[in-house]
Amino acid sequence: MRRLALSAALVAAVLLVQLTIVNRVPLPGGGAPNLVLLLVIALAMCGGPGAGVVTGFAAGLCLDLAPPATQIVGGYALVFCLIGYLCGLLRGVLARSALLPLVLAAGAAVLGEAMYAGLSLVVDKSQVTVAAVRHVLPASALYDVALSSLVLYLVVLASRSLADSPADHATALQQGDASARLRRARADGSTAPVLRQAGLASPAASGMLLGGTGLLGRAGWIAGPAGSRAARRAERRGPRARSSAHLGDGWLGYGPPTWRTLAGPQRQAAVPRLRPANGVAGSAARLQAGPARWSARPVNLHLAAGRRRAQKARQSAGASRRGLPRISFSAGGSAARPAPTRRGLPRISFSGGSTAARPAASRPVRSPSFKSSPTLRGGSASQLATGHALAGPRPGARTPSPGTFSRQLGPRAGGLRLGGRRSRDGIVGGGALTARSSRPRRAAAPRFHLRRAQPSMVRRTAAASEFRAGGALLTGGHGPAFGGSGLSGGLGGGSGLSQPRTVRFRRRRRSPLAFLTRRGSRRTDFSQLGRRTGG
Amino acid sequence: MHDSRRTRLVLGVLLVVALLLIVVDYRDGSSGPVGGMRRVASSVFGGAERGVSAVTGPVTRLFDGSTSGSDSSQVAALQAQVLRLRTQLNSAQLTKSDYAQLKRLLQLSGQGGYRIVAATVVAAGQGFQRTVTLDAGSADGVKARQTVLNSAGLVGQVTAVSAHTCTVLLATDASSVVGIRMAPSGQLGYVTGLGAADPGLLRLQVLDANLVLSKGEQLVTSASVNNRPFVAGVPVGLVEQVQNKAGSLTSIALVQPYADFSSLGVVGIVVRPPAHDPRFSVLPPKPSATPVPTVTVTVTPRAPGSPHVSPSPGG
Repeated sequence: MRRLALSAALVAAVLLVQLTIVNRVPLPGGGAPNLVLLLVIALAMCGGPGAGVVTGFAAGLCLDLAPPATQIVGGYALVFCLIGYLCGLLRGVLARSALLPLVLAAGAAVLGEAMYAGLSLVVDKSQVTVAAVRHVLPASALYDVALSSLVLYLVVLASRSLADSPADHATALQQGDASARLRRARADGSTAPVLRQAGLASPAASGMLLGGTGLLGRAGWIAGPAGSRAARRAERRGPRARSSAHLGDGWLGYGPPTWRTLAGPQRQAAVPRLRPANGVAGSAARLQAGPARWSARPVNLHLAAGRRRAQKARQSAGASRRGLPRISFSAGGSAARPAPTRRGLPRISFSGGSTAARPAASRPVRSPSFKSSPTLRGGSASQLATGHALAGPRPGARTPSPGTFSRQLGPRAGGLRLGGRRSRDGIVGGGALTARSSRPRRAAAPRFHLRRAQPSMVRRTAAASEFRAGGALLTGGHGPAFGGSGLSGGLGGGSGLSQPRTVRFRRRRRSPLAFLTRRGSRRTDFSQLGRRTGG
Repeated sequence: MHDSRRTRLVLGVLLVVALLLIVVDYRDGSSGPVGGMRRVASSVFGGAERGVSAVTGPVTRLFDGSTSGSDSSQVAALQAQVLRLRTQLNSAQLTKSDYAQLKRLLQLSGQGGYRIVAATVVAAGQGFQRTVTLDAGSADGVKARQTVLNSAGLVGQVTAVSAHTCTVLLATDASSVVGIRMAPSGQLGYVTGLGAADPGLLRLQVLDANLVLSKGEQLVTSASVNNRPFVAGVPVGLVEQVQNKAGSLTSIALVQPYADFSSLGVVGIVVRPPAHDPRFSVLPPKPSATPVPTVTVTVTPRAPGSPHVSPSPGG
């Protein structure tokens, strides 16, 4: 709401400035900058394609209708709508690079001017001639290029200040200053109040950010903004994690123990969910139902990197591409508390190979870390099953397999391996599903949402049926690594699953206009990414 | 909202709406629903522009044209009218530049016998169009299709009016056509704007195929039917450059307008045409060629048989 108000106020103000000052000042060259276009670009780059489309259309229509206008109504609305959409698609760039957004904004401004000139040439022949375009367009584009960085900077600044306003923590979290906020909260001694203030009834409904990356962008929600329909649904469903690893995806699995006080009962009913999106092993984690205890050993989550989105996650977390960056974002979040003070912090690693299979001694107990290596493209288990795990991550090595996930499902690979050898490996399934809890666990089968699976996966219906059959993902034979661990692995196929439920495949909601989009064919949808996770 | 089907749906819907607007506006012009939208937007944004312009006036006034007029014969007689119009302008504080422009404007309108409503420019059009918004509207007696002039000459015509603002199509807009008469001869023609291609010039086309144009000729408006949209006798400009193209039926020239369209400040809207056609009385004096002393030195080779070129006084 605040964002909407900010956008509307900015558009109105800039529109008036454009008409009353900028257009009246005789500038050399014959053209004038189009500040409204620049504002639309900036707002779209901060807010995403949806915000960009709406903002662009509204601003363009205002510019079409505001008094001195005599041109065809709808021209600017059309162009700004498209430009807003395109710039919204570039939203992630804003967090990743400092220079690239400026270049892209300038390019978008030039594109917008050119598009409007072309449209005017077509529909408004009485006023616009080729000579006029040739006279005005270069100067206007040049002014736009010169001013686009400034406008983008100011809009980013405005959105930041909006995020920092103390009245609206939800917006702040939503907009990606979560780590700063948490740091501040740590100084105050507690994290929970902040989160509670932020309207995060459940960690599932929230996403922590990896550092103030998202700007106006709604990075940070895993399940949508607090209070939204998706958030309420997410609360009912319980914690979940998706490894789509977009901007600001935060908690894979569980939050810090302080969060536990926030959503007690909901957690009990939670069903772990696993979303192996895009070949990145996902995790559904559920904490042990018991009191707030973390296991003495780190809990490891291995999400193979090398995927595009995993890459994104690494970059958004500020990790370097090389080496094994440690990203302090995981449970217990070092943004919120210093890591070494806790024992047994969950460790989340985006590395190939499961540390669950490694000897425990070789596993350093350390702060939450977030490893990434390009070794594997798929889930860690496949690597593990092929024996690469113990070799450790190999930076630079690449596995050129497009159908990663199906490979995991194959009889050769060990499948997505989620049954750890240890109890309370809470994050990816193993411990969460096989926890030895004092209370009787519900038989919780992970649900899969595989949308737009890899082509090979869609074809392999056998693998899909295996999903359904056992309520467990583990379809291939237990590889040597499994045998070595001595425990049954498999997603949801852990020993803790007394009554495996049928894995549900969720069918996407269909829009009546589905035929307009490219993915409109009717078939079972393997949801690749959750919609709210930034996919 | 992420890039999802919903976003794409919204995008598609809005694009279709924009295209529909374009089509409807293209067909119906100001009569259809788009005209209604324009009127609503005109009242809303026009008021806002007036307010903003009151604040930002000092900024834009820096660029207002301040070409000083030379005729000061009737200043004293117009002082009272200036005062009345100043109150009519409803702007408490006029800058010195505004005052000078208004004074010259009243001088011109007094010469032509035009009854004008003074107004100031509050906003200028965007993109390829040459339009401005004035802060006078139907409440001040302004109607559509009235002549707008400033202290130097013709500015344009009123195209749309709201309660307190009106939109003026400048004479330099590509869609503007103004009927003119040549100053000494009374030959008819018309000038069109060049639009954004060259906002400083007009294109003149005369109707008489035999007329030979020459640089420096002056143009005034010829009266339209019922003096709408143009009253007679308003100075338009002078011929800057004659373009005689082979194959063209009549001669074409580029006209330098008297008004400086890049910096319009105080303008007047003619709400009542003059009783008599002022003909060419409003025109500024034609720039006469001031005599420049030139020295010519003729050097001729001395010839014994040519007495008239001999520089020697005795020869």
